[in-house]
Amino acid sequence: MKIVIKDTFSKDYITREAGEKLRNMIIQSNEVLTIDFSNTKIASTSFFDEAFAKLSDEKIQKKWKDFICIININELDKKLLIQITKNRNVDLF
Amino acid sequence: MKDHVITLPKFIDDGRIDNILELLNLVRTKDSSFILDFTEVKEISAAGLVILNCISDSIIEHKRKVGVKNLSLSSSLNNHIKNLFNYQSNQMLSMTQMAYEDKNNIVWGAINSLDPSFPDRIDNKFQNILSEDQLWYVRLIINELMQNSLDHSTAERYFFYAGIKNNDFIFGVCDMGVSIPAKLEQKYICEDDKAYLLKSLELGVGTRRIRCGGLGLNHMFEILKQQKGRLVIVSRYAQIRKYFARRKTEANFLKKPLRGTWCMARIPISQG
Repeated sequence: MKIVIKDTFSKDYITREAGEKLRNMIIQSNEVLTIDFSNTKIASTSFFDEAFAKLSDEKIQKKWKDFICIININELDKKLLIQITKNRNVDLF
Repeated sequence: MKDHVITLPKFIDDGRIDNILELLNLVRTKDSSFILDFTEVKEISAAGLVILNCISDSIIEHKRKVGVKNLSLSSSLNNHIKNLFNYQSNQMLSMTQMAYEDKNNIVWGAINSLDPSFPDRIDNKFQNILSEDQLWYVRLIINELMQNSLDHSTAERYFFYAGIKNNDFIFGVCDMGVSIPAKLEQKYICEDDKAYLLKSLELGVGTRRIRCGGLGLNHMFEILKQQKGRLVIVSRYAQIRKYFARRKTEANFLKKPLRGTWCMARIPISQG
C-alpha cells in the first residue's frame, strides 16, 4: 500500500491532527506501507511527532522500519524525523 | 468627545513598541475616538504591518472610531493603511482585506486554523533570496509559531508575516489571544511575567498534561542558534529578546501590557 502525502494530506501536513490521521493509517495497515513525501516539505515537529514518534505508544510494537518505507523525503525533513523518533526508540530508516 | 491623538514611531517594527502598546491599552479602556498620526513614520516593516493589523482588529472589537493623519509612505502602503482603518461597519475585516504584499514583504492571516499555504508562498516569493536550507528553517519556525498560536492563545484570528529588512529575513506570528503568562499561570507559579516568559522557553514546559511540550521550540532554538538569528517575544507585561549570535537574552517589563503574544524572528540572509 502506498500513501502519497501530497495527495492524501493536500490541505494540511503540518498539524498534530494530520499526524494522528497518518498514524492511524499506519496502524490500520496490514501490509508494508510506502509513504511518499515527494514534492512536499513538512518541517513540522508536531506532524512528525504525532505520526511517527507516537508509534512507540502502541500496544502492539512492530519493527517499524520493516513495515514502513519512507521515500522521496526532503533531506532536512529526514534529519528532523530521525531526531524526533530516535528519542522514542522508533527506528524508521 | 475629544479625539486621542497617538503619534506613531518613526519605524514601526518589532522594537520600540511603547506607543503601540499604549494605543492598544487606550483602545481597550477609553471610550474615545482615535487619530493615528503617521507624521513621524518613515518605515513600516512586515512586522509593523502585522502590528497594525492587530491594532485594526482591536479597534473594531472595541467599537472605537479611528482616523489616520499625515500618511506619506508609498502609495500602496498608504492605500493599505487607509483601508485598514476605514471601517464602514463594526464587522471584522476579512483576511484578504488585511493581507498585504509588495516587493519585499508578505503579510497574511488565518482564522481558527493553520495556513499550510503560507510557507509555500514564502518559498515562492523568496526562493532567490534565501537558500533552500534557510527556506526550510523559516518554514519550521513559522509552522511552530502558527501551531503555538492556535493551540495556546485560542485567538480566533492571528497574523503572520515574512519580509526583508536590510540584510535580514524577518518573519513571525502575532495574535491578540490569551497571553503566555496567562496560559502558564494555569500550571506554574512564577514571580512575574518576565519569569513566565523565560519559563515558557524551557524544554518540557507547556500546559499539556499528558505529553510535555517544548519539542518544537527546541528545534526552533537550534535553528536560530545555527543561523545566528534573533527572536523577540512580547506577551502581557514582559518581552524577551534573544540574540542567538551573542548568546544573550534580555528580559524587560513593558510599561503597558500586550493582551496577546507577538513572536518575531529574524535571520541574516546568507545566500540566494
